[in-house]
Amino acid sequence: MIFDKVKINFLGCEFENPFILAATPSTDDSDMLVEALYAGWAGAILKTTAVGSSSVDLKYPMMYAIKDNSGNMMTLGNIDLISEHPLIEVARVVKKLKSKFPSKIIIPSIMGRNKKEWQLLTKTLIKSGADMIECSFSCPQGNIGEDPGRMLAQSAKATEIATSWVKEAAKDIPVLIKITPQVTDITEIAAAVKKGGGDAVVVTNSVLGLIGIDIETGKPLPTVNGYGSYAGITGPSVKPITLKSISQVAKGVGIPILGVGGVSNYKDAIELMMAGASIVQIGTAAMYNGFRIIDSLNDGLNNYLLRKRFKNVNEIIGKALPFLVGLDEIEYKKEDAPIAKINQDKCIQCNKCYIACYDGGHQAIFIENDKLDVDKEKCVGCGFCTGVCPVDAITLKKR
Amino acid sequence: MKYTEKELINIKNEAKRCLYCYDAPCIKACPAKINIPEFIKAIAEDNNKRATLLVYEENPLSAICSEICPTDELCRGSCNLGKLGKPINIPLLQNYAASFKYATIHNKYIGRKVAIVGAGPGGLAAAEFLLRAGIGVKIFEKENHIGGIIDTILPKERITEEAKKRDFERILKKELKIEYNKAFGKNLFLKDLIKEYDAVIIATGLYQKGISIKGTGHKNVFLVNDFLHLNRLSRPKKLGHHIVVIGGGAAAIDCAIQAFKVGKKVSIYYRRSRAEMPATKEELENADNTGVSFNYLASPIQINRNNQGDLFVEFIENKLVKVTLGRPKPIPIKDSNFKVKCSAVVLATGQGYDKKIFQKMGIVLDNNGPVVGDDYQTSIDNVYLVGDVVNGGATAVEAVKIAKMVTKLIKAEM
Ligand SMILES: Cc1cc2nc3c(=O)[nH]c(=O)nc-3n(C[C@H](O)[C@H](O)[C@H](O)COP(=O)(O)OP(=O)(O)OC[C@H]3O[C@@H](n4cnc5c(N)ncnc54)[C@H](O)[C@@H]3O)c2cc1C
Ligand SMILES: Cc1cc2nc3c(=O)[nH]c(=O)nc-3n(C[C@H](O)[C@H](O)[C@H](O)COP(=O)(O)O)c2cc1C
Ligand code: SF4
Ligand code: SF4
Ligand code: SF4
Repeated sequence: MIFDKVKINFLGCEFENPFILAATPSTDDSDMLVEALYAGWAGAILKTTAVGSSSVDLKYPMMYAIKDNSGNMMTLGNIDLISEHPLIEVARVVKKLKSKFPSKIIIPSIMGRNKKEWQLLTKTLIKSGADMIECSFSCPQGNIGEDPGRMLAQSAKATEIATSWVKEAAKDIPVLIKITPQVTDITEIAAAVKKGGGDAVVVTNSVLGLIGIDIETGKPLPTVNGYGSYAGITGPSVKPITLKSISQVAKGVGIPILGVGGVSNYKDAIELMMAGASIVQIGTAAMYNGFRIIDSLNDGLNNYLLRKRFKNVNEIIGKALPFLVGLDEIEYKKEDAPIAKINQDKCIQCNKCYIACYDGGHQAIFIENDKLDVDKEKCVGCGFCTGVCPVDAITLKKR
Repeated sequence: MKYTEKELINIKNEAKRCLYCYDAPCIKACPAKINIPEFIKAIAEDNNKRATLLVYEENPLSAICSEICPTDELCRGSCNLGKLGKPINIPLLQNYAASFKYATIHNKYIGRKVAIVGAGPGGLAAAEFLLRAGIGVKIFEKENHIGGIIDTILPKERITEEAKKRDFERILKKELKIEYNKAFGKNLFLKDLIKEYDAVIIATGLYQKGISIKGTGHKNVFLVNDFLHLNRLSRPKKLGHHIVVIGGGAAAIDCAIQAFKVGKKVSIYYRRSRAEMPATKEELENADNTGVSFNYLASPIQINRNNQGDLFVEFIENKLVKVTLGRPKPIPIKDSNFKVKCSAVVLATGQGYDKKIFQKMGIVLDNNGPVVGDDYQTSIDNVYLVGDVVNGGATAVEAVKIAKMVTKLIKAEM
């Protein structure tokens, strides 16, 4: 299939499509990367490497997932650490991939403890052909920042300094800084990246959480030798956090953005782009469904652009931003409240909206002769019922 | 095709229910190898264009096959969710995917041409695959319409005009040339085709074999396809109190069910027992539910007719004898003859290939039919067989499968 609408130029590099693999176990093995690039991914962030990576202390099991009612993965928690491959090995992989796929974008991810390490990692990997360098300032498990116990990207000052070290070593090669959503003000951190000379931010890394507790044993999940720990949360349920973070950075700081976190399909990707991301990274979904999903991502985006008559992807980047304002800035009069309307052709009489509005809303839905309808006086237009209806029979209309 | 709001909800829910299995059994079970999880995912994600192009990519007769494929034996029957009792309704979703008009892209003409004899499912699928590759195609068809068995024989309850229209419209492009009323062996000859074309595909299907007993020429004794064709008329002629259908395959079942339109009582007579019937379980249950009476272990000997127009079929009883290979053999039991009175007889006793035509063309035959290699090439170079004529009578989707294989080879040779 030909996807001629999805090409994009980002930081001077031609991406055949805006989809690259995020740093995950999928990108830690050279054969797997070769397969992914053959499958059609525009590029990949290699799993994060550090100086002395081979002494990484991995503990298993390292993942636990929450599923929806149909058994699909919604939320993944992992206590993975960085790559176990030493720097020279990662450098070799970069070189091999670039010679095999000259037009794919290969981006190693690095993490250092001090200036010397950050610069050594940067220089070594650029020498082997890296198109860009991604810096993990935000790994939620490792505390290898210069401020132990915290992520580098939780301090604006540390972020600015470390960014400038990497940029100094990288020279013309773009430097991407991967930041965390878990800060009071993410724009401060993104601004620090810009000040330090970073070319773009990667928004965001996994969100630190406790993925679950086994109620039979009372132990945290995943349980390793009887104990558990906080995990990096990823997958579909983190998308709202990703969207918030991207849009805040896009509105507040003029810096290019690679979006990541919670993308499962092309629709999610379009949302990240409309929030301000130019490139979309995908981790969990590619691990979950395999590299094959690149086809439906490309095709979905391409067909969407054709259908909506966009000339290219650039036209959707940041499209939602002009309409994103503070709640107090939205002009509103009481009469603007919409009203719920039930499409009788769709309704299957499950009565779920009835009970939901009765106990969780404004008791505005009534049943008459097995038919559900909305009381115009009582309905305040809150919209809850539209999310309850399993067949999307309820929509909000102008009063 | 217009779906109601509720049908659309059901389609979407069904699509979302699919597990998107990896190395999915449903793909393996589809003779056309449609990428089922992928097109279903596209439906679930509202990417209808992708769904349409994915189903048509592998099967140019997607709308038709979604209606007539024995899916319980194929894709749906192998769906992993079937293990939990509710397989994905794949034909429903394929039918939906095939309801959009998104066109498959065809390459530019590359200057080669192929002759196809017969415009049934096999010939049409082969034509479409070749046209996509930019190869010129001319079809020669004996009748004055396309579609073969599917167009004039298959009962109306089994296939909609809408499905045929959708698939045929996609295939009938202006690049596709068709010449009607051209009968291979009568006014169309292989030696001329070989001279003019880079390859020849023979997709003439099967013809209905009668049985060589006395009395098959009597009035109201029909061959299966003729009977089904008559029953497709809007007001088929009534045929009286009792219709006897002889045979045990899918076609016999189709006839028996259709026969209720024109007769009061319908009986099937089959020479082996129910277990050996080639018809599927679903088809048999269907016939049971319609009220067809089944009679086993009986072979016809002759058909007589009296002056009032009553027909009498004389049968002989069989016993089954195990053989090392294949289904048990029916052996007549001496002096077990009996007669059945009826008003019409339908002979659904199988189909065969037209031996004479192939002999005349110089194509080597053996007992099973024209000899072909793994590549479906006959004893004459660049002359291929596709569809029922080579597999002895199967399904439309099997014809598509062979068409795909053969056209791939032809493309590779060009
Ligand atoms: C009663 C019945 C029910 C069936 N039910 C199903 C079903 O439910 N599902 C399913 O998948 N399949 C079913 N089939 C089988 C299916 O119809 C065939 O497998 C399919 O039509 C084979 O396609 P074909 O192109 O090989 O042959 P055909 O459909 O037979 O087409 C052959 C074409 O060649 C033309 N032709 C024949 N001789 C010549 C000649 N000498 N010169 C030029 N043209 C010629 C014919 O006019 C015809 O157009 C059924 C078959 C029958 C008889
Ligand atoms: C098992 C696992 C390991 C990960 N390892 C790294 C890593 O080494 N470096 C890094 O920057 N991010 C790492 N991540 C985070 C991902 O790159 C990505 O930011 C996160 O998974 C959110 O995107 P997603 O919802 O598409 O998965 C890891 C994620 C997972 C699930
Ligand atoms: S996902 Fe693979 S490696 Fe991990 S536990 Fe399961 S089988 Fe083992
Ligand atoms: S159902 Fe079986 S095959 Fe499917 S994921 Fe579970 S264990 Fe694996
Ligand atoms: S086997 Fe069933 S559930 Fe699995 S991909 Fe095929 S249709 Fe979907």
